[in-house]
Amino acid sequence: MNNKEKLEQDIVSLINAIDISPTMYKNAEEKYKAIGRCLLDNGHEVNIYPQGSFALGTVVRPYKNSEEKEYDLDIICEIIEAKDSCSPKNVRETVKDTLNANAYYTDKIEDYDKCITIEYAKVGEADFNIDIIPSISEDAKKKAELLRLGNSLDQINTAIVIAVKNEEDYSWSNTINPKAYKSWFDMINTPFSEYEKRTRMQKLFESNKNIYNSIEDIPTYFNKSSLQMAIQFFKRARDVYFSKNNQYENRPISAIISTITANVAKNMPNNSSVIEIIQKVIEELKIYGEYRVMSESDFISNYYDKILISKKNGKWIMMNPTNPLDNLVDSWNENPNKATYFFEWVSTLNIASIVNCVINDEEYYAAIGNILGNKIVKRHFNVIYNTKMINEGTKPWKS
Amino acid sequence: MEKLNIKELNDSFPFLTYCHELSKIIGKVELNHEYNDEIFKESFEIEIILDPTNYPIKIYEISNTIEKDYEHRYIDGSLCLASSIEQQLFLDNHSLSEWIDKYVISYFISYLYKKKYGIYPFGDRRHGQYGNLEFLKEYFKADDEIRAFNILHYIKIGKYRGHNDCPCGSKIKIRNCHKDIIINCLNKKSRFDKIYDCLIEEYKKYGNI
Repeated sequence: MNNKEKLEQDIVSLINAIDISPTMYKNAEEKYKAIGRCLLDNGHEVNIYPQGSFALGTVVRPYKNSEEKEYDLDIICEIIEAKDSCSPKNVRETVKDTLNANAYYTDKIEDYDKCITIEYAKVGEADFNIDIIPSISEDAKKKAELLRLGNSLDQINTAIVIAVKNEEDYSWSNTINPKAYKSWFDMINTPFSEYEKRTRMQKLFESNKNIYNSIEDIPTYFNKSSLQMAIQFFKRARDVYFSKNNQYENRPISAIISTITANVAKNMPNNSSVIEIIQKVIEELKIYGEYRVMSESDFISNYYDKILISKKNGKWIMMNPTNPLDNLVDSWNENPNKATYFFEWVSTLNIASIVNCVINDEEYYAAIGNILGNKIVKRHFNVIYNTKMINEGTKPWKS
Repeated sequence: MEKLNIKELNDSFPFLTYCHELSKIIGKVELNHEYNDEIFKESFEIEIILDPTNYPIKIYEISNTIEKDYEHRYIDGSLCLASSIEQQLFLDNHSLSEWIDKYVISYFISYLYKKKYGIYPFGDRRHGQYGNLEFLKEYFKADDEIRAFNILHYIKIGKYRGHNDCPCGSKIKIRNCHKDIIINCLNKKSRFDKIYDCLIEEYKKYGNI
C-alpha cells in the first residue's frame, strides 16, 4: 500500500475515533428531546434542533492544552412567539427558569453569554455537555432586509436571533440561520454522501447491531462523506495548532472551515477521497494567503477566479453563504493577527510530504500526530516511540 | 569545566566525533524528543570548539538549517544557547555531554517550535546583561533583578553575618531568608566574583544595568 492509501485509511480511522459514537449520539438525542419535552410540559412551545457540527455531521472531540476534553453539542431552543412581543430577558429566563425548576437539571445548569449549558459530563453522566441556545424567530423587518440582500423565502423563514446575557444585561444577537446553513451544506454534501452509501451503512450496521434494529435505524449523522471527514480533519488540526501556539481564543471558527471546505469540494468529483479534498483545500488556502503579500489589485489580476475570501480596501471578507449579514472573517478585521495565525496554520499542514516522501513508520505516525495530536495517534494506532519526553527546556539568549 | 569524557560523549551522542588535533567536536545531533504533544525528529550538524578559556563554549550549526536572521546567535554566527552565567554555573559541575543534552537539544527544539508555532516554548532571555540578571533573579529566587544584583554584591563583599538584614531587601534576617543560597554561593565565591566583575564591566561599557 502506498502512503496515500494508507494515510487515507489512517485519517478516516482516527477521525472515527474522535467523532461521537452511535451510543453517544443516541444519548444526546434523547437528552435534548427531553429538554424540549420539559419546556413543552411547562406550557412553552419550542422548536428544538441541533446546530453546528452536531447538525452537519462534523463533531470532533475538543482538544485544549494538549488534552482531550468532553464534547459540547449545540442545540437551538427556539421559543415560538413573535420577537416583538418578547424581550431577550424573557426568552432567556423562560428557558433557564423552566429547567431550573426541574430537580434533574438544577445541579447541571451553567449560564454563559450565548447559551445555557447542561453539564452532563461534569456530573459524570455522559461524555458531553449540551449547550442550549435560547432564541426566537427574526422579526418581519429584518426578514424583509434579508430578502432584499439576497436570501430566499425559505431561508428568511428560518432566520433567528439568540437571547444573549452579559452579566446583568440582556440583548439580541445578530441574525443567525443555522437551518439555512445546514440546507446549503446538505445540498453540496449529498453527492458525496450518496457515493458508496450502501456499503458504508452496511458496514456500520454490522458493527452496531446492539444499537440498531435495521440499517434504516441508523441516523444520517453516521453516513459520513469524505467532505464531512475533511472538515473534521481541519477542525481537529486547528484545535491542535492553536493549542500549541497559545492562541486558542484566536482560532478560526468552525463555520470558516466548513464553508471553505464545502465550497472547494463542490467543484470536485463525488468519489474524491478525504485526502484529495484536504489537499485541494490546502492548495486553495495557500493562494488566498497571497493576499498578505500582494496588493488587492495584483491578487485579483493573478487569481481572478479566487473569490471565496476577498480583501477590499484592507478589509477581509468571506460572506456566510446563507446569511448576507454575516461576514465570517470579520474578526480578522478587528484583530489582524487572526489572519496571520490562520495562514501560518495552513502552511504547517504538510500532508503532501507525508504522501510523497519516503519515511519510516515512526516518522509517518509522528507527522500525523504533529497535526492531529500525538497522544491520540499513539493510543489509536498502538504505536510506541522511543522519544525522550521534555517537560521543560532552557531559554536561548542574545548577547 | 570537567575534562572531556569521550566514552560518555560516544554513548550519548553516537554521531558526534571528538577531533583531538583541532580541539573540536564535530558531527550530527539527532532529535528524537517530544514536548507538548509535538515530536521532533530533525537532525543538525554542529561544530563545538573546545577551549577551556572560552566561555561560553562556541558552537556552530553547520548544516545551515537555522535561518540566517534567527535572533539567538552571536555576531560570529555561533549559537546563543542560554545566558552565559547560567552555562558557566552548569559546566562547573556537569560534563560536556550533559551540557549538550540540556542546552543544545533545547536550543534546537526551541528553534523548531518557534518556527512552526511562532512562540518560544520555554521562553527566551532578554538581550545582553538583562538576560543574565534575569537568570540570576531565578537562581537566587529574588523578587526582581535589582535584588538579585544586591545578593550578588553581598557575595562579592564576602562577609557573611546571619543576623544582618538579607541583601534581597526583604528586611528579614539573612539566616531566615536567603541563607542557604548565599552560603552555597560563598563556597563558590571565585565563580560569583567573576560573574560580578563581568556584569560591572558590561555596565561600564553600556551603562544599562
